[in-house]
Amino acid sequence: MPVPTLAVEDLRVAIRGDEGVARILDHIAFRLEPGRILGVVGESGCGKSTLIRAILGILPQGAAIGSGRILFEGEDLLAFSQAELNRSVRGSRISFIPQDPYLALNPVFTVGAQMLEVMRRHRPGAPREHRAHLVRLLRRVQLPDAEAALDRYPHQFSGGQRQRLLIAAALACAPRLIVADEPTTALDVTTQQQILLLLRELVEEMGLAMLFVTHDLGVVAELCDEVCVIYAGQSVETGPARALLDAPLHPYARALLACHPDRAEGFLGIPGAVPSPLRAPPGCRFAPRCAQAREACASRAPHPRRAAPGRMVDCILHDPAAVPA
Amino acid sequence: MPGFILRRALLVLPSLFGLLVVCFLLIRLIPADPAVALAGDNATPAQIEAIRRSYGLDQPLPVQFGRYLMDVARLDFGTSQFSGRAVAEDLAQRLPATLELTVAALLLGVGLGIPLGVLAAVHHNRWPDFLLRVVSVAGIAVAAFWLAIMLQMLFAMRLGWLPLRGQISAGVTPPAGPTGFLTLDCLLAGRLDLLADALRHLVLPAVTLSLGGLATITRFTRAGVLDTLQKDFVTYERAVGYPRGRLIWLYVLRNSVVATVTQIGLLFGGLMAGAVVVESIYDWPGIGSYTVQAILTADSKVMLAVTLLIGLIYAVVNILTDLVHALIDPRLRETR
Amino acid sequence: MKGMTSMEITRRGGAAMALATLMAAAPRARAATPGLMVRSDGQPQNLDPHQVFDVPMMGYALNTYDGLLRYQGSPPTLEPWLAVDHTASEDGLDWAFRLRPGVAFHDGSPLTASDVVYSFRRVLALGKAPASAFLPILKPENVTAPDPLTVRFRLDRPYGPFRAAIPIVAIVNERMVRANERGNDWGAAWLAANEAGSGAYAFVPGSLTPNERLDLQRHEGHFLGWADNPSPVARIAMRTARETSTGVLGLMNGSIDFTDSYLPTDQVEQIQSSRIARVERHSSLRTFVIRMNNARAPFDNVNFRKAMAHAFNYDGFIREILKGYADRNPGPMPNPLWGAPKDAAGYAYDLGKARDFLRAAQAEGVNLRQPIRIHIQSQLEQTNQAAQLFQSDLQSLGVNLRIVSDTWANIVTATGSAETAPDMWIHWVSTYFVDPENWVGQMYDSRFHGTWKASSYYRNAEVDALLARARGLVRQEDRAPLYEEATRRVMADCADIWVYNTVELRGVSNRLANYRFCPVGSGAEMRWLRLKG
Repeated sequence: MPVPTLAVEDLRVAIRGDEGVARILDHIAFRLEPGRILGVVGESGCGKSTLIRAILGILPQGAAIGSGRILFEGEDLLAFSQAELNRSVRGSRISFIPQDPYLALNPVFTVGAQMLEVMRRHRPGAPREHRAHLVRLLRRVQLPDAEAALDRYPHQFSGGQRQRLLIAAALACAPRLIVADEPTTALDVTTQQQILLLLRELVEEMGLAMLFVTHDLGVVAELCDEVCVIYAGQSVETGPARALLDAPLHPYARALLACHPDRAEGFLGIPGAVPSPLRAPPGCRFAPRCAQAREACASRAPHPRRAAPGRMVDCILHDPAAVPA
Repeated sequence: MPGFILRRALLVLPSLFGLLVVCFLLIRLIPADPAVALAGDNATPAQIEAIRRSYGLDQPLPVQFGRYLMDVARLDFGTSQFSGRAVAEDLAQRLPATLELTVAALLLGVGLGIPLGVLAAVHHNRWPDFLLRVVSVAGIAVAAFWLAIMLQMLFAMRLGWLPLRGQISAGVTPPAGPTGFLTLDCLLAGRLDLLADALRHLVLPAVTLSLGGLATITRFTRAGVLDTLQKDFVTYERAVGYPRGRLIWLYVLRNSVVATVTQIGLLFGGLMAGAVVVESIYDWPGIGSYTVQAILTADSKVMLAVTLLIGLIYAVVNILTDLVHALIDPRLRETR
Repeated sequence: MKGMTSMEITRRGGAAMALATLMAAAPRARAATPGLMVRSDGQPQNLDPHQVFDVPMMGYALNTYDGLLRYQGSPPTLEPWLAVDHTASEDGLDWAFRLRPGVAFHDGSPLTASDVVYSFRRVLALGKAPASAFLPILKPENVTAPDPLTVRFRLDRPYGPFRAAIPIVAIVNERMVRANERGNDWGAAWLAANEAGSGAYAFVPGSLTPNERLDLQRHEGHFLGWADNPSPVARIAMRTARETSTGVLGLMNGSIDFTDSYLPTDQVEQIQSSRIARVERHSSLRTFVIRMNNARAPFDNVNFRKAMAHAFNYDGFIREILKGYADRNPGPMPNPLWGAPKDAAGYAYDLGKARDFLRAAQAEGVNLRQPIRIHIQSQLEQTNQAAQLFQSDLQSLGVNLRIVSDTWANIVTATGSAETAPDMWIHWVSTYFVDPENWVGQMYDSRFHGTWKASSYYRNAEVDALLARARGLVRQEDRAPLYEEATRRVMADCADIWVYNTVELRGVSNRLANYRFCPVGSGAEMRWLRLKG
């Protein structure tokens, strides 16, 4: 079996705040193979951002890793120091496309200066060569007037252009993995389509892996090879995108798909609300909202099971070891 | 941008005119008759009257003001009623000393205040932050006079490292120009020994004067950096592996100092005011001590000229502040 | 007097000094430059001795210029200087001064009678402070030089203090000043920043930053010669220590050799106990007076004034606040000066008597309830201390005294008329010329009403007559009894509250020996000083 680009195993992250300890991530597990796109799907507040921060090593003050490993090409990133991450991981082998292109660029530096800052450390060659490389990349991401763009400031670009800039920046050092944090949500629908298309092309062209975090199942359907559904900090179901979207197994995944405007006949919400990580229910966190919940759900520790080829589900209903009702 | 500077510069003129009107009226509200002060201890009333006439003090107020404005328009600031010297000459001789002092204080305040502010923000709510907060509150609260004496006691008396007072040692002959800025003139004259002497004299006054500003700059920088650290682009920059030093001291800092620069502009006015006290204690031959003398002797021409000068400096500094803002933040270049 | 305002200790200075004393326990001396002494007592507002006449000017002009006569010693006596002798006619109108031959100005040119005539005419023409003693009695054309070594004066009327005022006029180098005249200015603009004298020290050209910095160097060719002084000061750096604390600290670390003569009394002990410096303590001719506006109720009542005079705690003030460094001076004349009546006891601190006089005043219709105001000079802390002490005693008598913070320039303007003059105010009367006229004459003769010195608006025809007669006589023995009698009457009328005669306190480095004090100039004549190292 080949080494996956990224394998997250039983990741638990808690953050100590003023109101107590929030167990934001409580058992996250998935694998991302080279050349694939993994969509991580969940509602807002489910822990997607914390997951990204954990992978990139930029968890906020007060955050503590409870357990687990984040294996990047076989190495556990959690064992890396900040300096090591900067030296050999962040910006070079793992790059990042942020959510909001309007806010993610430093407003008082030219985009060229910002993009070159990272390349300076991770690519051999002179600044002039870096510049030329950037211009090629900007042309590739279809940014108009690529040559002049490097000397302009972020506010002189539209949102779509800025996202293209950020994508180019993410590609600048030939990464093995791109972590993308809902990179299209801040954009209008047309631009969104163009950007998704571009990302798809680039991943295929360059043979890299991408972790694509989103709350939008439509985007997942369009872009991703694999899906990982997260609910309240727990990865409840993972599997190939088509299979999972066609026949979700976990009750939460089913409910989530049922809510999607493209599929729902009339609006069907999920009753109840996502529990606060400060007061998460024991056992399966979806149990209080689950129509098929049983008594045992409340005491069942996270325990993903292989439900079909390449598919993992964490639910008592799909656990052969559990006694069916 | 040049249009902006021109517009701002033109706006300075009416402000200065207003300043002059107010100052002229205020000076006349002081009951002291400058002619009496001029005539000396044993003057007869007739002597005083003659002096009053010779200075045009017997004319109606609008006439006096009109005459004054005409003179100022010709860059003639009149004669000090106290010393009999041309005010412009006195100011030209003294302004460089004050500017040297205030700029040194400003450099100290900025050079220390910004790094300290950054340190406090980076160590937010940990001991360096608490320590700096206490120190900066103290810096604002401590009277310059008290601090000056303490510094004199420690560095001039107990340790004997630095001179007590003055701008240069009594036994040496400072260079006579060409700029009037003593340190610069020493340098131009190639007298490094005198330059060292002048710099040694500059240390205590500049430190004293800088303290209030240092505290303000520290506070504003800290707040600015804390605010910037919350921004998405900082998260992005960390996520893509900007080295921590450059991230904080270049990318974060430049976003954080706009408010600090505004404060620096305002501080410059405060520093000129603070120079009055500091110059008195350290016998610094600047316009601060000169102004005090003028007020005590009701020397109106000097008071008016100093007001005008400080108003002008203040206006120039504010225009410079805006220019620096535009240099720091490209977005501000286009709104002008 | 206003020249010293910036040199007096300020209130905040006082507090800081206490700390300074604590921390300066082990002062470190700095190596002094050989031949150089540093003064911290400032410089005159400009350098022209015919435009300015005050304590700082004397500290400059006594060194750079010479006069026909000069005061020496304490109490001061008039000594021959540029003039070897002089004569006065019996009627006191004609005076002749014979000049010392062979005197040279700093530029080497000889000093002749023509320079003296020019100098007196210049003083009269400029009409500034030094002129006021001469303007009423001397016309410019009546100063003449019949030969190069004789100067004649013919006065409009006899004027007793004339001889005493002669040292006021510094003799300037006519040729140099004339060469620098602009229009009709008598060279005023030029001499304000230059020097044209013959004194023991010469101004170093280019060393002037007005009010900050001024250097003098020894004039080898001074007419007195230097045979009497084996180690004179070669160069004098005149600097300005605006805060007294700075001056004292400089004295203690060796960077200042000579402070002003108004050291705060609480500094005396510290300086005295150091090995590096000492305090020169000398009784001066400088009286401290609390003025009362005699033309205004309730001060127009003599019993009320006497009540006031008995309510001031003279000894407490001198002992506690001045640490004993002042001499009780019960009348307007400084005790050591001729013309002061030795038999006049003055008023003592006695609240019982004060109460009696208040009752008497009340019986004469004085409203004791009305608040009275005393104006102090805000930057002169001692005036404030005196007012506060007075206020507390008056409170116990039921008199409401309000303290008004003010400046010299404001007060002097207000004293221009009896209507605007303050109820009470506090000041010193320094030596302008050493003559009773400087004190009792100009303070209580009603002809001087309108000047700050006569701001009591005291009016007594008999006193006016006594003073006018004394003014018209030449011989001291004739004039003395008249001034004594006038003084007795003013004291009997209790025109003001006379407090003390100053003991001047000057910090002097132990590098300097042979300090000579004279109330005129306060010991700032440097040619006598001997420098060690």
